Amino acid sequence: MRSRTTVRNGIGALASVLLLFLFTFPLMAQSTGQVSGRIINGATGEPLGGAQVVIQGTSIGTMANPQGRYLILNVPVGTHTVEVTRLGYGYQSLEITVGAGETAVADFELRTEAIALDEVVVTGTAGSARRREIGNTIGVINADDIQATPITSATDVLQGRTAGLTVRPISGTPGAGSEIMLRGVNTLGGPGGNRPLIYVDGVRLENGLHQNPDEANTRTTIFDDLDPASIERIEVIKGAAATTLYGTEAAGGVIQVFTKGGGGGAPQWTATINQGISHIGHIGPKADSTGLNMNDCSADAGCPASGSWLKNGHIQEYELSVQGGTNVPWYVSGSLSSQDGNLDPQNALNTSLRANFRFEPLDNLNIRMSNMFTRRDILFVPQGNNAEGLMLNVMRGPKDYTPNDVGDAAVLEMDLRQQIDHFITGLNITWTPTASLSQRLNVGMDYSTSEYTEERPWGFYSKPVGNRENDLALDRNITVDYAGTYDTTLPFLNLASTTSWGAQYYDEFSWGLNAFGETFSGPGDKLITSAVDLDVFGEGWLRVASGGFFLQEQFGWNDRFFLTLGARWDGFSTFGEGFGLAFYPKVSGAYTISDHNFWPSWWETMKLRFAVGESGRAPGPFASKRTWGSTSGDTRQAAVILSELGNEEIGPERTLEIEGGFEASMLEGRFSIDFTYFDQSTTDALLRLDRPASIGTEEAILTNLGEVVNSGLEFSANASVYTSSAFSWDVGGNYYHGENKIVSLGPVTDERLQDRPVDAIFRDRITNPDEMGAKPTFENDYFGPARPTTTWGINTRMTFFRRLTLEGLGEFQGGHVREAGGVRQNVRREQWVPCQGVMDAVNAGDYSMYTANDLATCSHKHANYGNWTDFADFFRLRSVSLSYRVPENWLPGNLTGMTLRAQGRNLWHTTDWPGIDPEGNAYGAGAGWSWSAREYYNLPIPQVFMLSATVNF
Amino acid sequence: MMKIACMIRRGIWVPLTVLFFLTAGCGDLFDIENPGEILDSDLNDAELIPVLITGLSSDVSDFVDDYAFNVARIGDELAGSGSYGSTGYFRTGIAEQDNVNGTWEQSHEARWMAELHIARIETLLEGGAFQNSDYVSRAYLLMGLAHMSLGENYCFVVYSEPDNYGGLQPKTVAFDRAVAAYTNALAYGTGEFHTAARAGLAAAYAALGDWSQAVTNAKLVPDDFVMHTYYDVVDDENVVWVETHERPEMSAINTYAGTFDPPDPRAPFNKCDVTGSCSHDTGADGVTVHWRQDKYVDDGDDIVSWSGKEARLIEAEAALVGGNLGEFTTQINAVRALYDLPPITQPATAGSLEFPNAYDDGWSILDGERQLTLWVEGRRLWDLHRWDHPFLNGGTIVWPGETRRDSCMPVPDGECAVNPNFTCAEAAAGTNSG
Repeated sequence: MRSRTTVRNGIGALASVLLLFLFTFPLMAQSTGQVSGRIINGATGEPLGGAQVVIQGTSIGTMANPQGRYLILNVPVGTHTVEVTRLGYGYQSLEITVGAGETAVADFELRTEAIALDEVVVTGTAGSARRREIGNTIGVINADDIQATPITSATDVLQGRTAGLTVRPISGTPGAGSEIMLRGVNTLGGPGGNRPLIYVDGVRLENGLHQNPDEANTRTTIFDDLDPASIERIEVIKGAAATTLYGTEAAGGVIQVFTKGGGGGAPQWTATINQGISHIGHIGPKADSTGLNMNDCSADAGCPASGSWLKNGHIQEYELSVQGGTNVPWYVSGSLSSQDGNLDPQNALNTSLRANFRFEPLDNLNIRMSNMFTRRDILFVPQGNNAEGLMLNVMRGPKDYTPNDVGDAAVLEMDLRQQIDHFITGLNITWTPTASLSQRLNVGMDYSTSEYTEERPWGFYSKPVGNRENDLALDRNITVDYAGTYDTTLPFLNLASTTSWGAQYYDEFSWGLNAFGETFSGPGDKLITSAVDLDVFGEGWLRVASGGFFLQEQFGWNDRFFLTLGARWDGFSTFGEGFGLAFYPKVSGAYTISDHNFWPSWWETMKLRFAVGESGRAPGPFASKRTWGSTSGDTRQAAVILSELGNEEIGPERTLEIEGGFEASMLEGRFSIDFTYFDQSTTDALLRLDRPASIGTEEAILTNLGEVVNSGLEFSANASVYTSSAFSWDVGGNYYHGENKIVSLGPVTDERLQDRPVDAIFRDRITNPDEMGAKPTFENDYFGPARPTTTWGINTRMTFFRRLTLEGLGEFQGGHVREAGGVRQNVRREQWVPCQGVMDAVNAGDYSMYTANDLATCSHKHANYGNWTDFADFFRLRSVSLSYRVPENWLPGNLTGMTLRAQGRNLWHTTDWPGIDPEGNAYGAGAGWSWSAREYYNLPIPQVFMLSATVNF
Repeated sequence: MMKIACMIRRGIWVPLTVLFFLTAGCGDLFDIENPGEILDSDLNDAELIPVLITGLSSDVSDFVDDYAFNVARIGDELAGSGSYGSTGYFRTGIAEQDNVNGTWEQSHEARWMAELHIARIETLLEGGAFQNSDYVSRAYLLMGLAHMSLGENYCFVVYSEPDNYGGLQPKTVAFDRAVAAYTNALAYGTGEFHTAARAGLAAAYAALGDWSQAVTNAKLVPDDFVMHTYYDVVDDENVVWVETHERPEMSAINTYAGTFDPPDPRAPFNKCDVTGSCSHDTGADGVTVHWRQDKYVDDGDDIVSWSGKEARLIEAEAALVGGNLGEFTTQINAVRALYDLPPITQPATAGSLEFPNAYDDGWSILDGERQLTLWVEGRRLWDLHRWDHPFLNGGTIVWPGETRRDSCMPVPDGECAVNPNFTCAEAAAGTNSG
């Protein structure tokens, strides 16, 4: 079966834009003199690599290298103002005089400033814009925030740092990914529809998951293919009010990742070595000294010689980067990391290379090329809801699936591995022919392949003849993104005008092939073709294209008040033929009231903002047409069965968001706060309308009938408690609370769902809990949402003598429920020590002293999932880090800097949830990537301890 | 190009670009065709009729093994020894509404697919070709089986149209529809599927209590006739094999079939704890001794859906109802002869059903013979229900406080939650436990 998409004239049209763009360069050139200097953190003395340095009023500028040094060439002779900006730091400028052929020196000591209104951000606008112009909040995470944190995956960078951004790890398996969510849930489309869009250097990524390593019951995510060490900053926009110009599919928010670029000058090397371990402590109730046979398996057949299934996993990471270049600044980095898991032979081996180049063939033309290649080799252990899973069989003791004469170690003979190759390349051209006119073109490709193999060797206990499965997947996505901006001053009211326009094209292609072979001729066979029975049992081929354009007009008054009006039009290959283009409007305003003279001087910054906008989500690829799938019947005869009922009127669901808030800083920037209230209403929600199967089909038809509301607030605050050359102390925190509910499910009459959260969890709730000695009775009931409704994070940083820094980050997630499914199954098998009293009584036939609730919880004959579903609030100490910046005069040879760190991650947590780990998830073939939230024989999140050394030379 | 550059510098670029995109929009920039698998309209080809009907057969395969598996558990053909079923209710004869959605949906989808395909074929075949089409005959045959599966296993049936949802109706409505479908199967085609349709009609009329029509049709089915629902390792694994042969989720221990040593050839099983020749000697619950069913020993083993053996049993039952013990014995022995089993002697009396089965009168012999002959084919629940079998009052119930096992499945919650014509409580009322 092969799918086909045609985009008639679309590429041609965009190519025309490209030609129009390229053939209209004015040829301009000028030169003489240079400016150099060093930029450091005024509080800690740390060099501030990545700071932007520009000559005011020109497009001449550069970026500081990791030692904070910069060099600007070809500066016209004369007096200039050098401006320095860096995310998270206050703006500074210095006047210098440049002589012909001379080097003027300008050093800077920047101070942290949480609310930097003149900081330039890219996200959410047609082009770059200053914060003061933007009517919505934008979360920014920059390299400084994470450099001291123990990071084992790219999603670790996001965790706990931005209000409204929730990261939920899938499991403690090395290589396992995380679910990323912005402002909770606002769609009926499941977690897949709720994901934010991901852009890396302007190239849109597939924002989902790699193929399913189903016997491992976990998932790898595409975001984790990024090398965290190469990330310069991340901008997070959280709702439709800000993502309008991204069009259909942006209702879940947008995450823009910007990678490091070269600062120019002589080559500067940075090398980092991390060595550490991951550790899992006691599993399950303390009363069970064996830790559900995981910590102490000495009584079990097949138990490792150590006496425990668990071990400390060795983590080793090596990173090397170099940047330099005079006329063509460049940045090249490579990293190699190996993470052993806590079960043998789990391992995740990551290799990543990045090469970014930037050059300016003309003064007004900036060309940047970004390239990334990552290879991930992951070895899994069978886990989760899997009869051949290690933890299921071990934790169930003798009442398991492995035959009694075969130890549980037999399941480890199954070989599960995934290899992922990911290549991202992007070309960014910015042409600024005049100070008023700027145009930008991004062209990029996101290309990844994944191969998952699953092999039961010849002689495997459950399949002595052996078998092997190979699942191949390829994704190729093309981004073409053009935007232009024209600034002018209108001849009335002193209004500044910024007009923007642009168009995007996104082409998404995926292919997959599944092959299977069974019955090997003997040991040692490793290929499917070594098997006797061969089968190619699946091929998928899918191409979806979308295109859209936008217009935006921004008016600015006295650089204090900004009003922005914009609109986006989208076409999408998955819309029904009767639908046409989707239209999304927006309006936003930003008012820096603190710029008025009447504003108190101690309260330096106060910006009020509001934004209203729409975005959308596209229906699935086959939603508009009735289609049939190929299969076989009557023992391998060709057949077709219904795939999709089809709805020719199907269109995108629309999310309207109203957002308001303020940003303020006071007391010389020592204290800052950012507050946002948002209210989202999703209409025409894509809803699989359940109808009675008695009409003749179990297939639910996709409709635009649903309505969901989602509202909440975000708050973040930062304080510089104390600052001196000997000691500085910063404290920060963020808080998010949001709740969603279903307003309408169209004609569906299931009243249980009305006004419940989209991610509502229903289970059987006991109706006679206090009845003594009675059989429990149950009624299906609502327990709570599956995703956290409240999150908060707190972080602190203390620096001693500008050299020794102690940092910590803690995170709370709560308001959600989770099912301890594995525990309930263990109770059913009399393998849960705290329940032994009840079980003994039930076995003796006299349990009159126990309530029905006791039985529903602890009786192996009555245990109910609902009794093991509870609120899973937890607080986790995400990271603690101690860093020491070695004095430069201690360093040997050519070393220019050295930092030593001791780090810990996930060191401690507290929760009242009755399961094993409140973050352990059972994702995979069985549970699916659904709202369902349960723990089911999967590894808890390990603690990580690391020692790290970074040197610059 | 210079002209364009000049226009841009003069500020004409804004309307130009907007005009460009608007023009491009009208000129197909966004006129993007949806990717598709096989479009519905592409199936309007007479050459594709075989794949439509084979697809329908695949839809039927979806539910027949599921009924065989579920009924084996509720009807006690096999003992639960695994971890499935909410708190084990299901395995002890309590059918819960959230456990019976799958078969309900699959049966309805199969009968609807048959309706769709027949209507499409009628537009594709001209003149007598439609009347003579064996594909049409088979579609009606499979439709009949779908209706029978609903009628035999669910306490009520519901038939709806997309714009007109139906209410709870008695089982007889499904049997009437099955009679109509099987009758149509006889009316079309050249005869390839007519014998199976006769077997189906015999079962449907028997279910309606019309023993005269049941016997008339049964007599047209030879002893050795058999037609299966098909399974295959690729697309349609037999779930009974997966769960009870490959995995130890059910056991023959503590069942009627398990009382035979050696096992009856119609209900073969392996005493794994004795022979040591299985991969497991205890069930997945770690407690129950695993006696592995060996009726389905491969994931592609087919399940009997229409047969001469069942036709003989229907004739035997009709004879018993009519008090003709001689004819009853003849028909029972015809079935036994198919398996090289010694004949039974004619019972002295029709007697009545009992539990445990003493196998000493007409009804207890019929009960035992049907259990063994139709073992794990998804038919036992209907026998328990229509006979109001005494097993339902005790059996192997382990739940304290329960006095009756369910003899039929409730209309599932997936139906009652979205069908406004009845509540889920009303839908569950037909079960003994409901």
